Formats: sequence, structure tokens, C-alpha cells
Amino acid sequence: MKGGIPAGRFLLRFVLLFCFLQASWILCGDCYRVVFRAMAAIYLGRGDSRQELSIEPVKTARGDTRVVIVNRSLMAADGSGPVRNLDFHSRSLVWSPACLLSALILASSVPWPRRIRALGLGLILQHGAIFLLLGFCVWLDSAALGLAHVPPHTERMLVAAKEVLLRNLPLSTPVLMWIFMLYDKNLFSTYGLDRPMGGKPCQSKTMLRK
Amino acid sequence: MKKVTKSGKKESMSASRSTLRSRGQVFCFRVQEACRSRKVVIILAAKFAFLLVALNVLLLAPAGRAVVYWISQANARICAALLEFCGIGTVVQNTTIFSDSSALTVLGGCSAVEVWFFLVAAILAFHCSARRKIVGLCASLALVQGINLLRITTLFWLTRLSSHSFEIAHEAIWPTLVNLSAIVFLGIWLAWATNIPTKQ
Repeated sequence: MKGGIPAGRFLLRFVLLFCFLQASWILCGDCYRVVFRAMAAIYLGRGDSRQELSIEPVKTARGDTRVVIVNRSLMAADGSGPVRNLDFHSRSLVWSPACLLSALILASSVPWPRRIRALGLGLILQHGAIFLLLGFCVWLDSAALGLAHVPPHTERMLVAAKEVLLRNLPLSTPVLMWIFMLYDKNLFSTYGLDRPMGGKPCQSKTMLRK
Repeated sequence: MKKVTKSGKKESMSASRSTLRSRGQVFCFRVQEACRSRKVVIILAAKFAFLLVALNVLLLAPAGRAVVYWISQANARICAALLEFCGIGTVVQNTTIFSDSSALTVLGGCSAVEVWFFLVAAILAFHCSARRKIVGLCASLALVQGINLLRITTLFWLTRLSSHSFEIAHEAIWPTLVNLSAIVFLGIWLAWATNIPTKQ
């Protein structure tokens, strides 16, 4: 068959790998949560002097990790004052997209060194995207404590952007990253992605010259 | 030991500069080549991202929120009917399903619209015949809503058993199954839309 593996075999490998990686949360979940919180604390901890951020483990319906945002200048001497809490599930926000990306890359029929390179780079980019999103959410929430200035007319738009990103990033970024990183005419002809208009496979200039 | 003279140093510096320049040129050339060879995928990804954002923005509008509420209400009613069929007496109020011992509210995020939008954006971004796109859109809607109904029904049933099993199913099992079904559906649809056999 043209294009290497048939789509069915790729899908079967993907399903098995995805289920296996998701199930591995039972064993690795606690360790991963600790590492992720530590990484998030390093990344988000670089605020201004008025801001105090702490990342705490919680067990609520809204998440298992909480980012507590405090404005030191608004706090009273007894430690009371306004606080913003940002809860999220580390599993659904970070682990699941990483599993999805890993399963897609590992199920693809490309040489192993390329798969490993793509996996390493993909996981770094995936985590980077999540950290950027978290940074954006923290910045937006810290505006309520006077730590950031958000113009009133753009606030609604930014809140909407946050909702859209939180909803779509976990499912769409792994798929996009997989397509970008492992794009190969031979591999993707399995899915007809080498045909821009659904007709003849597209040829690059170098191929045409040959 | 080698003696490094001033003129030698200058020569080596200019050589390294020219190497760097050529390396920079090679890098730029590689980036250009990568962009050229990935043109199809870049266009596809850009269309997909644009459609996904546009659909989600529509969802955030008041009319979109009303549609999501209506879908959640319909889901609650159909699930209640399914539970009645299984012998569990239920009452539906807005988007909440009540039984004698438990209650479950179908929130806006539980309508699986985001997953369907992901599939809609991917199907519309891909170049194939309009007939295949329409089939893909209808099949994806049926699949996503069917799985979501099954999800809500089983979650309601689990609330009657234990809160721990409900949490595991709600946070771990069902999100995995929903994402998995979306990706597998997309793979099968792409193979079908491009006439590629899934079996050898």
C-alpha cells in the first residue's frame, strides 16, 4: 500500500498506547503532581515584589492543584486580606495532553530516533504551552487584586480567551504538534494530508525537478 | 605547542565569522525548506485553528450559551428517559436529574460541544468533497452526543453506588474515552474521506 502503514494499524497502536499511558497515572500520578507543582512554582514564582504566589495540593471538585495569589500590600497585620484561588486538575490539563501527544508520536511509523526526538521536543513544547496558559490565567486573576492592569473594555475579551484556551488546548495542541513535528509525505499520505485539494498528491519543487 | 600570532588570530576570527554566516544561511535555508515542504500542513493547521477559535467564540456569545443550555437540558431529559427505561425512577428539573437517593446536574461543560467543535474544525479544514464533509459532521455529532449520553447515564448510575467510583469515572475514565473516540473517529473519517483502506 502506498504510504507505509495502513491507517487501521496506526489507530490500533494509538488506542493501546493512549490507554496504557492514561492508566499509568495510577502509578505515576502522585510523583508527577509533585514535579509539576515544583515546576509551576519555579515558573510562576517570578512575580513582582508585591505579589506572593503559592501552589498547594487541594482536593476539591474544581481541581487537585491550587495557585493562591496574594497582594502583600493589601494584607492586614494578622494575615487576613483578599486572596485569589486558581484551581485546576493537573491530570486533565497536563497529563492527558502529554499522553495524547506521546501516543500519537509513538504510534507513528517513523524511525525510532525521529520518534524519540519528536517526543522529547513535543513534551517540552506541550508543557511550555500549558505553563504559558497558567501564567496568563494567573495574570488575569491577579488583576482583581490590583497586581496587574487590565483595561475594562478588554477584560471580557481576555476572560473569553482564557475560557477558549482552557477548553481547547488539552485536545487540539497535541494533535497540531504531532502533525507539525512528524510531517512527512510518506507518512501523511496514509491520511491524504499530502493532497492540498483532495486530488493529486502535492509535489515540492525538488521532486518536480527530478 | 602552537604559536598564535596576531594575524593568525584575525584570520581565525574572520573564518569563524564566515562559518557562522554560512551556518546562519544554512539555518535560514533549512527553515525556508521546512516551511515550503510543510506548506500544506501549515495551511491546514491555520484553517483548523481559525475555525476552532471562531466556533468557540460563537459559543461564548449569549445565543451560543443558550444553545449549550438547551443541549444540556436535552441531554438531561434523554438520560432521565434512559434511566427510567432501566428501572430507575427520575425527575428532571432544568438540567438536573433527581432520583430518590441522588441528583446530578449537567453543566455547560458536560455537553461535549467542545469535542464536537474540535471534530467540526478538523473536518471543515480538510479538503474533500462536500458530501463527505456533511457525512463526517453528522456522524461526529451522533457519535459525540451518543457517547455523552452514555457518559451522563453511567455517571448518574455511579452516584448511586459510591462517590469514589463517580470521581474516578468523571475525572479519569470518561475524559479518556471521549478524547480517544474523537481521535479514532477523525482517523477513520480521514481514511474514508481520502479512500484509504483501514485494513490491508
